[in-house]
Amino acid sequence: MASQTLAKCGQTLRFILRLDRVWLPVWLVGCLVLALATLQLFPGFAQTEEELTVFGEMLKNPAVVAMCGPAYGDGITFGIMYTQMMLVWTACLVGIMNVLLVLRHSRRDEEEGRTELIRSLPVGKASSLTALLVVATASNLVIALVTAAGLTAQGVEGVDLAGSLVYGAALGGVGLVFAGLAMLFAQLASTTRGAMAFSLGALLVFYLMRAAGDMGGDAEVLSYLSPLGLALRSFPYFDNNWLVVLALVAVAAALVVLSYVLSVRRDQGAGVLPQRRGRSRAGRLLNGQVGLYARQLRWVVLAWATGVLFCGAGYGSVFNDMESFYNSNPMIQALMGATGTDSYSMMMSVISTLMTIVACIAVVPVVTCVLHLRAEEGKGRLELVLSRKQSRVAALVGSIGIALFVAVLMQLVAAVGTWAAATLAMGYDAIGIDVFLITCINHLPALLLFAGLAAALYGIAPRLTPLVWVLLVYSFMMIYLGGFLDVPQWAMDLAPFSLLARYPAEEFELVPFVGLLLGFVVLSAVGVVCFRRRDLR
Amino acid sequence: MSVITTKGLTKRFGKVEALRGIDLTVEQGEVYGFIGPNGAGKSTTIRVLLGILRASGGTAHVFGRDCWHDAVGIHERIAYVPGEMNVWQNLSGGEMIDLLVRMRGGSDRGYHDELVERFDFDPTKKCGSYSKGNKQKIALIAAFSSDADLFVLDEPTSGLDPLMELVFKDCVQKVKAAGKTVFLSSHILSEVEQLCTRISVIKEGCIVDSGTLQEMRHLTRNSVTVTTRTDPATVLDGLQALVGVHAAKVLNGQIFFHMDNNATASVMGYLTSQGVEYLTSTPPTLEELFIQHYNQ
Repeated sequence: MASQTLAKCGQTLRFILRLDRVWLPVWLVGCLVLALATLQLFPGFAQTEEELTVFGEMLKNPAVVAMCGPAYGDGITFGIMYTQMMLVWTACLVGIMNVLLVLRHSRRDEEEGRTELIRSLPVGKASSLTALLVVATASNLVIALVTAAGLTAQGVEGVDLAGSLVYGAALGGVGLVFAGLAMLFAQLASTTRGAMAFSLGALLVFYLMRAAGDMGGDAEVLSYLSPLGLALRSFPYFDNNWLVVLALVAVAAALVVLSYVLSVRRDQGAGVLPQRRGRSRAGRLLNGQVGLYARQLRWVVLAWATGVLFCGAGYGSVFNDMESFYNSNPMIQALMGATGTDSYSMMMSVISTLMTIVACIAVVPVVTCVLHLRAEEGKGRLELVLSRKQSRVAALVGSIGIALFVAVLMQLVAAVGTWAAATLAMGYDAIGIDVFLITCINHLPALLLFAGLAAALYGIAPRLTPLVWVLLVYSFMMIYLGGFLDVPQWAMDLAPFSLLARYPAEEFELVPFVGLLLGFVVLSAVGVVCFRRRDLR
Repeated sequence: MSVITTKGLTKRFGKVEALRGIDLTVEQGEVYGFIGPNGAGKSTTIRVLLGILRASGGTAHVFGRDCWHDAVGIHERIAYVPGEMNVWQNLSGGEMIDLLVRMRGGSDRGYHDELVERFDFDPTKKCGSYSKGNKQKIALIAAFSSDADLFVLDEPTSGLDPLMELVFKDCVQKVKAAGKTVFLSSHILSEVEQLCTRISVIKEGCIVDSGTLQEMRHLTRNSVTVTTRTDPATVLDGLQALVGVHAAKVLNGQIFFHMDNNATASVMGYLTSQGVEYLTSTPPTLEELFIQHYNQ
């Protein structure tokens, strides 16, 4: 029986590796380069013992804790600094990699009918899932070991082998949990979109849970319930808590077992959650391209809007802690005072940075609204639309229009969410909604520039569109680390957000605002013109 | 006025020449068959006619307008059924039919409910869960409930069961009776034989033959079975000496052979002189024409 359910598992395994022979190494190397290259930068932050201590105090800032994770240890070392600033984000990246890896070989294959083809061969029921499990486990093991080796090998003071092993293992552990989670959702949802939405939604919820929990107090239990929060509590380079890694692996194992049970019990092609019946006639709104695309995108947009709302609220809720942090910390007061900064201007600077990060997140749904045309074309559905009385111009301009609407929506939600949470936390309207609104509107042209770039690349050649995501990750890195590092100005300016005034820390400037808007219009026009001239795939 | 005209139409994908000079003329009110095996260029031709692909050379006009530049205006009068139906998984079948009809811009002829019933289609299920044949019905119902002037059907019956094929044929007859034009691409020859007035055969990106089924048969051979009073072996020798007789053989006392149409008079004269007892002559089926073209 066992040999029946696992028949041809080895061949399936080799098949997955063959399919992913580029995809998987690119992700692994990408994650590792990001993790390893950043460590090099840390000794540059603080050259003397004193600077290091000040930096340690900065890391206790509630805004930093909410964004990255809790400060820990008896004294600050580069290892602890690195963990606090990098672990959560790298873990998110590894988590996303695992979700994509698992879903592309489970629910997507099943939805597109490939699993049926494989299962009609003498291949066991559980072979695909087992092969996938082996690939995912091996990938996470590679990430854990190579990260540990890479971190230790750089010989940075305070980054020892024991700590690096825990750091790497925590990363791999989070990866495994997300692999398990994606496997489970692949059984529950009957579409790839659904499984993807559940998995990435879980990632966001786990991030927010640990942001709330890491602020301390009774809420800290939330951090233990989130794999991201749990990973942070392995405290590498201090406690080196291997129990946390064991707990992560145990959770992953439980998720995998549950997936297996569901997978052998359910029908091929179906999900555990039932399919709902639809309407027999279309509603009034479903009458053209914009109606169709709006309908296709509404849940995605709603999910991201909720994410942006919670993210803004999460950041907004730390402003109260930040004020007391400033008032109770003479060292920070001295440091800030020397440069002429008081608690208010520090707050303005933090608002500027945090809202830029929220805007970076909001770029994702905006670009998705443009690039969904690429998916429509790839799946042969755009042909169905364009063979009717529908023009290519309307297809692309309509999608850009939806992106424009979504950009405004996201920024409004971000402003209101942050303001509301800040006001609730501080007990009075300390900052004013106008500050948040102007901050978010100031970022709008940068969001739109990404939409314009997506449109231009799609119009020229659909295969170029991943470059938009490269620019987004680059921009995020510049915002997140650029301030700490001596990055040359031109490198900063490649990120659209850096071109704008850092409102409210600086005065609002009209020139870059209008400039980026023009860039958006020009790029969109390029996209439309090129799209009209090329063949559909 | 011709509804579809192409002259020397070519299409290259990189180095591959998918179409190598297609000349087509489809007149108002006819049902035009476009036949050829997989990969011959049928769908590529249709995609150029729809302005989805841009021709590399030659011209393509529908309703006298350029297929690429006036695509949107042309589509207002076209109903298109693709060979492979790609659906929006999360729409119901009914929603997708309405969407397709509305996006064409023309009016619904009010046949929607009748067609849904005749095609035995459940419009409340999500599109993702339909079988291949049911997905095809979405496109067919959307097409035949519209008041288009030209129906472009790319292998429309793939996946349909025989009963549904009958409904389909009936729909085509109806639009033909209403004076509409139908461009039917297919490799199911019986379907083309029953429905089409004129036919083009495409092979490796070239039109190798076109005309009415009658005209095409004239160019070809009939199969003849005959029994005579005279000894079959003698008749066989006599037949083989005649021009226009091919593959003659004797089996169980019957003589079988193929005969060029223009040799009919001389062959019949000879057979009569040998005392014909029984004779059948069948025109070639489209299948045989097709196989004849493709074995060349």
